Amino acid sequence: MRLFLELIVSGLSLGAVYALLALGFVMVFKASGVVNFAHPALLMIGAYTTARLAADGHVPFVVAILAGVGLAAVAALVVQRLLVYPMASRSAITVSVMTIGVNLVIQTEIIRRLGVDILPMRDPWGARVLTVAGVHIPQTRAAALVVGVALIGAFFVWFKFSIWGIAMRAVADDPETAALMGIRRARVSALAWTLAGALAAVAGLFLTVYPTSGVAPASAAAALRAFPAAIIGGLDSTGGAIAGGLIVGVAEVLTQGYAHDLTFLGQGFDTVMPYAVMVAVLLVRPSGLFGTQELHRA
Amino acid sequence: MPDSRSALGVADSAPVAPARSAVAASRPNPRRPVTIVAVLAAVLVALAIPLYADRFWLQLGLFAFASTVAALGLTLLLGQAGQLSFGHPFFVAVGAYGYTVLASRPSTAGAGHRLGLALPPAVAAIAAVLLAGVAGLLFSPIAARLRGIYLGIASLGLVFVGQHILFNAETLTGASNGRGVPAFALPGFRFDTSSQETLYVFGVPFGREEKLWYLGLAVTVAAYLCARNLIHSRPGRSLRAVRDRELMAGIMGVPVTRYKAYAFALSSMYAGLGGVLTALAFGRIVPDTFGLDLAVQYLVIVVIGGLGSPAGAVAGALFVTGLPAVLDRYAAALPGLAPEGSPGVISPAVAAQLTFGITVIILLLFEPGGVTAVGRRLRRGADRALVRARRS
Amino acid sequence: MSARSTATEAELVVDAVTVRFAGVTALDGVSFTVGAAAIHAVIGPNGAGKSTLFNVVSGAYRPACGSVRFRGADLTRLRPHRIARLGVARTFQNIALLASEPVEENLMIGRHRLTRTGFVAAALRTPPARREDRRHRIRVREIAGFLGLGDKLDVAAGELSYGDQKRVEIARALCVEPALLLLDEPAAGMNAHETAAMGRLIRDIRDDLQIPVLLVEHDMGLVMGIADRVTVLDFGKRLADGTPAEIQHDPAVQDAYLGTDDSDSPGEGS
Ligand SMILES: Nc1ncnc2c1ncn2[C@@H]1O[C@H](COP(=O)(O)OP(=O)(O)OP(=O)(O)O)[C@@H](O)[C@H]1O
Ligand SMILES: [Mg+2]
Repeated sequence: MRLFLELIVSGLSLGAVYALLALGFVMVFKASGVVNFAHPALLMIGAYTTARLAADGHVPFVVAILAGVGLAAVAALVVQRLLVYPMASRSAITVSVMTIGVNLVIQTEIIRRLGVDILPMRDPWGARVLTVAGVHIPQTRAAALVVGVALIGAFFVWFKFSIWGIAMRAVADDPETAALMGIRRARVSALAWTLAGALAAVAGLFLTVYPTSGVAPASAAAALRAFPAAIIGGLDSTGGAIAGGLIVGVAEVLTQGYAHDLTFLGQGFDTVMPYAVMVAVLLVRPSGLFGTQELHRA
Repeated sequence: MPDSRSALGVADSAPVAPARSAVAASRPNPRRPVTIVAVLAAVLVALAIPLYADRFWLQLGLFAFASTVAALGLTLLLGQAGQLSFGHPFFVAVGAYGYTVLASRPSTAGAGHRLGLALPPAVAAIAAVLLAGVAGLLFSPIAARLRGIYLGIASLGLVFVGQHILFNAETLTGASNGRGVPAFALPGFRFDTSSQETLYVFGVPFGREEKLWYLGLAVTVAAYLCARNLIHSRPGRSLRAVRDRELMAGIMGVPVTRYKAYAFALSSMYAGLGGVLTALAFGRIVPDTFGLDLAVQYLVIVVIGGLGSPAGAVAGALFVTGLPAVLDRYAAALPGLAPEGSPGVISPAVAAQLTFGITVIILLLFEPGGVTAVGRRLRRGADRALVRARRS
Repeated sequence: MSARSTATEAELVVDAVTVRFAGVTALDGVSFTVGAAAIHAVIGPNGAGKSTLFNVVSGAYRPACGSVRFRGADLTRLRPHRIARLGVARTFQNIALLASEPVEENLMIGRHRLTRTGFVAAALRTPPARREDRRHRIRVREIAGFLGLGDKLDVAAGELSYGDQKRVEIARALCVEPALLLLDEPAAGMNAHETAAMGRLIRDIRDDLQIPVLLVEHDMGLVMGIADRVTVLDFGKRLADGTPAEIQHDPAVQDAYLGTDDSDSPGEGS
């Protein structure tokens, strides 16, 4: 039972991180209609920058984080302005495929810089473990949970009440009417990309600290799990992104924790679990748990 | 016979408006003599290459053939049916491992039990392609119900599930050690370097690579022609209708879901065939080959060639398979490049990846038709120049 | 086929059809019948539910309740391609052509239900596949000629003028060899001369094919000139149903919709 509790807490924490990724991903999709396959690259930019600065040891860790988050946000904005915006008249699928090229370029460069090494994060939490009511949980996981929940909460308050949040929802609901009301889609889209970049960087931080050993080429694979998270929740639902992220996190950690009971699934099934859940959800609900069902319009 | 029921067409009704003269340029005729000559020349060159080229180039050619065939499937799926898929490597793996398992003899020696059905290689190859098609159909409850971009993400699952299976189903796949691929053979002819007697053609000894080259060429040409025919036919047209106007297509009588499923199965069969060729080209297959990188590679090929264009798939596959190998071979001679392993500088593999990524971005930004469109433009320019030259 | 039914027998029966979208009831218990070889107009202001009705008949929307029967088959239970197989063909108000494809290919899509070539035969270009293609192209060119599109077969549909695109829409529906034809605002954006010609064309189609034609149109002159019967919708409800003359004198219709008799349409609605 304690194991189960520990796994649930750990899973929720990982899920909160995935939720941050999925949230940015869904935001970009809602605001610009583009599935951003360069999302893992944004994460890598953030994580790599933070780890590199922290490794040099000249700046406090907080500054390293801010730099990573800032750089990822700027990179996302540049991608939106320079590449996505000029393709506004193209089909969503074309623009999305273009982002595969962006991802390839950025990832190749970062992996080249990393070389064969793993770049440890040198975060203040290290491998320390907290014990709350008999439940052990790594400090990194606790931090991820706190930060994740705080950011998600802040996002929803902002999304609901701020001018920009309202504009973003209006654009997603009905771009034409929004345009008539004077909301500039390009600006909303730029904002969405920037936020997505920042959120991805935060997620990148927590995906490369303990129990992971640092920034490595494989870190991007974890970022990919934001995709099933977004699809499970419904690609156009911000609430769904959170739910999808949590589901994926918990499913993954549970599969890992009970691996010895699940040997019939083969080794390392935890990395496949998010996709298995996604396929199961899609079979029942093709537009995800909270996604809007598409209505034909002639 | 619905045709005979209607008398429509009798000229008792004036057209609604006076017909205006033809507006736009008619499209370029694909059966122009120039095109035919170019294709013939290409085939002749391809036929002659084994007589002159060394093993390195032949081996590279085999990989290019394999990539072309698989990419043809993806260009049909993405370009014609409008369905994005990262799942292609899964079906390539089904073809590669399917062939290997079906054609191998079962073995228990050394590494443990390995399944094998010892079918004649040609039968095994065909069965492997069909198997890939069936696998594609099995995924159709998802593939056929999702819209293009959603399928793109969902199909990521196939790659990861596929790799998981490859690493775990040891009796079938040999897990991370992989499996040796049995040589191809047709009745009375083996496609390996036979030890007893060497085949000489025009004085050139024909070994495994030379023989497989012709097999690969024949398969690729056939696959290419089938893809072209499909595009210019009823199913191809209806797929494009589903892609651009799904609702209209359904209302015009196209069974939308079924067509999407067929398109997916078809592209899976192409992938399976590409997988058989991949297996034969490698001689030994390991799970790592069939990961996400391969999916991206196929997408790069298809985008560089121009979405939906079979000729583009050929050009793209040549470029994408060729570039890393060529860069690697001549790394020492190229400025700014250094062979794999030397620190600091850009390795050929990195240079190739960056080139691919940048090419994809630039093409999609400025010329979504890919190199086929660029080629068409150049040709039109040349035509115009020719006309001008003749006039003056 | 059509010889079986007489002019008085109803071929299409729309029975208490209700369609709801989030917040809107686009159709509210609408019923009417269309006789064999009748031109039946459906009119009403913008947003009255006319296109929604077409979408129900052609299977794009499933109504919340009610049924649509065509020659005994309940269309509301069928998926669009099944309905197409019964010979139900339509045009789209917001033109739905493949813009980059030549007109001829666009029209060939209308032949889908009448042709058989599958993936394998097409890939191998078998002789039957080629024969079928050739045969149907002949018919497609004939229909294109009938609509004055004979010299535009090779032009990409997207490059045509709006009026020509509307004609391609109609030609494509005719290429289905329809047993029931639905025309959604065929004269939208046309001048008076073109509209009159469109009216003659619709009547010719009906006379030639002896099929029921369901017509949505804002141009009252056209509707009153060629329709055998008219159904008036307003906010999803059936306001009136009758012959053009009855409709013109129906006080409810005059109140709600026509206002100043048969002057120009109250909205272009394109
Ligand atoms: N797919 C849909 N989703 C939500 N609402 C819809 C949808 N289709 C139609 N509606 C709504 O249903 C109502 C009827 O629309 P419909 O298109 O049938 O009107 P119409 O009579 O064809 O009007 P017009 O003359 O402008 O073409 C409108 O309020 C419209 O907004
Ligand atoms: Mg309408």
